[in-house]
Amino acid sequence: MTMETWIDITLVILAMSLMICFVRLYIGPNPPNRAVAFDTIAIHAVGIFALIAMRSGAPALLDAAIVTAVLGFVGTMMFARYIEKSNVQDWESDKE
Amino acid sequence: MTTIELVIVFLILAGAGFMLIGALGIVRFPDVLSRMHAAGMATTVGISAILLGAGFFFLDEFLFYRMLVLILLIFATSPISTTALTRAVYNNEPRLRRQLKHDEMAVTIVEEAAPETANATPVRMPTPSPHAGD
Repeated sequence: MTMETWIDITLVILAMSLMICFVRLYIGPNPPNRAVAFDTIAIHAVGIFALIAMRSGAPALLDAAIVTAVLGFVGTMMFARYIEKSNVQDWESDKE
Repeated sequence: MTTIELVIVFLILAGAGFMLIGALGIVRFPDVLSRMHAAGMATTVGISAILLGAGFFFLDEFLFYRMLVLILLIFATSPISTTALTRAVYNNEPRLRRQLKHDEMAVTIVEEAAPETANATPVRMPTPSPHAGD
């Protein structure tokens, strides 16, 4: 098997993992669960950027991966500050 | 396949497996703190392996050090965001706070809220809002 086939298999595994993260983003009963799912989705975006750069031989996409990592961190910190200041006491429980 | 290609394939497959395990942990774990545990550790190791594979793949274009810098960035920022989220959950979820066996943040929040009365009576469960000062 060539290199491109292995990269395609890895992309399929990452796509499955991303769909599982979107399941948590959909059913998450309260905002912190959705923030955790968003953090994981941002990290998955970095990995998918790196794999597409390897697949298409375009190393300029790795710079886009760096920017995506920084933006995901900033977004997660924004969610954390918002949840911390919101002071909600009547969220739904984690039990599904 | 040469040796470097075998190393790259092993790194990216291991990284994708770790990220799949982290995503499964996010869906399957019972409460938000253990979900943060899965999201913070497994995905960090997985993305580091994938980026190391990308760095070895683009070894001719001198991108290996840039990937090392990106791995260092993720290793620095992932614990920070997880800690901020944990602090937010702790401040807003009294039900989760009641499940903890050892609560080190309780005294800290009382000292932040009222520093002159913190040494008078040790309070285990602070009932007032931690955002009273702001």
